[in-house]
Amino acid sequence: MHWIDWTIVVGYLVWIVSTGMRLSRQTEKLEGYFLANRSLPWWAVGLSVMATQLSAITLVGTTGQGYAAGLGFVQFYFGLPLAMIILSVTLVPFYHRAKVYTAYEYLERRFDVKTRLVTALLFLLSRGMACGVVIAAPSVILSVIFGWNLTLTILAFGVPTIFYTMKGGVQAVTWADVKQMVVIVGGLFAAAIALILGLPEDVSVGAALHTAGAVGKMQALDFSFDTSNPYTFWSGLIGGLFLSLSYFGCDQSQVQRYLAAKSVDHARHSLLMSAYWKIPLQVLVLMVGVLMFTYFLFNQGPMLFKNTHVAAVQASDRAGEYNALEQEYNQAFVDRRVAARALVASQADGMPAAAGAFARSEFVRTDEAVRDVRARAKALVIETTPDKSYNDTNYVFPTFVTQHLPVGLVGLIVAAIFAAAMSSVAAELNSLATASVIDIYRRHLKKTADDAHYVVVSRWATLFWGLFACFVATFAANMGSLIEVVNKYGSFFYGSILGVFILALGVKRANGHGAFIGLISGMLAVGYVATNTNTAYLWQNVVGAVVVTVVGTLVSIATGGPAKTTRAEG
Amino acid sequence: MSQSPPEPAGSHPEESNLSTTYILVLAIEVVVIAGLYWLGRHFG
Repeated sequence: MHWIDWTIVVGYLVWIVSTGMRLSRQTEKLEGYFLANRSLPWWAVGLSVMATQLSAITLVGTTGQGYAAGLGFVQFYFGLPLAMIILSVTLVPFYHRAKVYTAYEYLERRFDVKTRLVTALLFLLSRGMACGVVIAAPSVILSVIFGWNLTLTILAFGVPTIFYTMKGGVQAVTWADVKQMVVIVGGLFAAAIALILGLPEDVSVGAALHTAGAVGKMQALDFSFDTSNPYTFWSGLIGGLFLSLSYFGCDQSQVQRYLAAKSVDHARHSLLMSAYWKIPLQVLVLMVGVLMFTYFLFNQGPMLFKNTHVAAVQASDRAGEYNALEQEYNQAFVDRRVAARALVASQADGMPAAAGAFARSEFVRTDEAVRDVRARAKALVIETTPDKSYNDTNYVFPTFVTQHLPVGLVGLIVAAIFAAAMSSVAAELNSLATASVIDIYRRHLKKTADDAHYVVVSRWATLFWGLFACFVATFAANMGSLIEVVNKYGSFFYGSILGVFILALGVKRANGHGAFIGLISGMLAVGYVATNTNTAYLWQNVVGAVVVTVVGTLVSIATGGPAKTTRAEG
Repeated sequence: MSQSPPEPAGSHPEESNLSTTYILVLAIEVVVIAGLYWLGRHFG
């Protein structure tokens, strides 16, 4: 990177850490440290909610997804606005009136201590591992693209985040998130503008999008009811609804954001900000990917984007095969560029429809040829290197940024990748520390101590989870399949934990035994479905929630109904 | 809360009735999905 880009990235890091330190007030009490004394305005909490959810995996992986498959992934978020409304009406006021620190604390009041303990432990385990993956994914990519040392890259993400989260608690996290969100959105717009300016002079944005549309990349909606297809309108609306209900309603990393809001109304408005803006923001991220596709139609990119794997193959005894493929790719690229220009020209006024149809079919044929040669090159890499889960699309956006953007913009977008990762990690560390201290330490290990003691323990817990995440990141970075395992492992819990909250709020007769046995049954059911069927993971959330609710209700009835009558209004 | 159903939004004096906002959220989602449908039709 150029020194100007370095200056921008380092300046960003200093700005964020100093923001976190400067804007943290009255953190000597537990409620100040974990909940900002319930004083934050809705817009800050809302931006923090969005920044937490938008990780570097989203920024790098989803742009790559837009490049490879177009806008279809946006359907994943169709259930989110409805989930936000349901949560605003149900869980948000309950949490606020109950004056809880964690979502799991509420489950003990409603059910029993074992339900609280199990859900808190599941959260700590899954979120602790996931936090490592959130650091690992961008660290691996940036270290490959820039040739940086992997461990140092992990520490560059982890150490500043641990530092301001330890010091300032939820206030530092929230105010840093606000600024990080500005950097992320600014970086995305800058990338989109640079991509549009990078098109040839005689190719308009509309013509470029028509070429992307010719190969299906502008088709955002798929109304088929295929449960094995991960991204359809129905899986997004129904499965996405359950996932969003669970993530925003039962996951402490999100719940803690709006527990810090100054009132129920502010908490509701903070969630509704995501309801309004999440889908348009996701369209922007995917559109950057689609624009990269059009950019690389006219500007030649590499056959494969992960340069270290290319170097490994070229150093192996199969280098000859790779070089032959590369020659084939060069010719296929030229053919496709000619076809793309012909397709653009055919859209001019007065051109006969038959000419347009021919140009379109030629473009589709040449694009298939490019994809075919890339698929064979990828297969060669997988055969030659130990990386059996190699996903080249994750490297498209960073390669575009580093090789095709001017000095200054590179620094801004690398800062945006840092911002996306750090905002997610900070919220996760803060929530992991909260659940560790409130649900485990204060509840089971040291029940009577002053706030100063708990705040000190909370800071140590933040440090512990930060180091744990960096440690997991180091291993995850070297084991591509581990990232998939952690993501799938997380999906085992989400729907099931949501089922426990549905029992708590919606089933009067539910009791602790029902919730506990229902939870175990739900996770087993999801595990069975995940390993023995071809059901896409969004539907697994529905399975988990339904099984927990049904089994929990039946067991509660069989064991004599509710044991507690605690009111949430506290 | 286990023994009493969730109270409707706005039933507490410090809370606003957000029914109109919720309808607006859903209306905007419908418009955004319709816009995505149009994008697919126009450029596809």
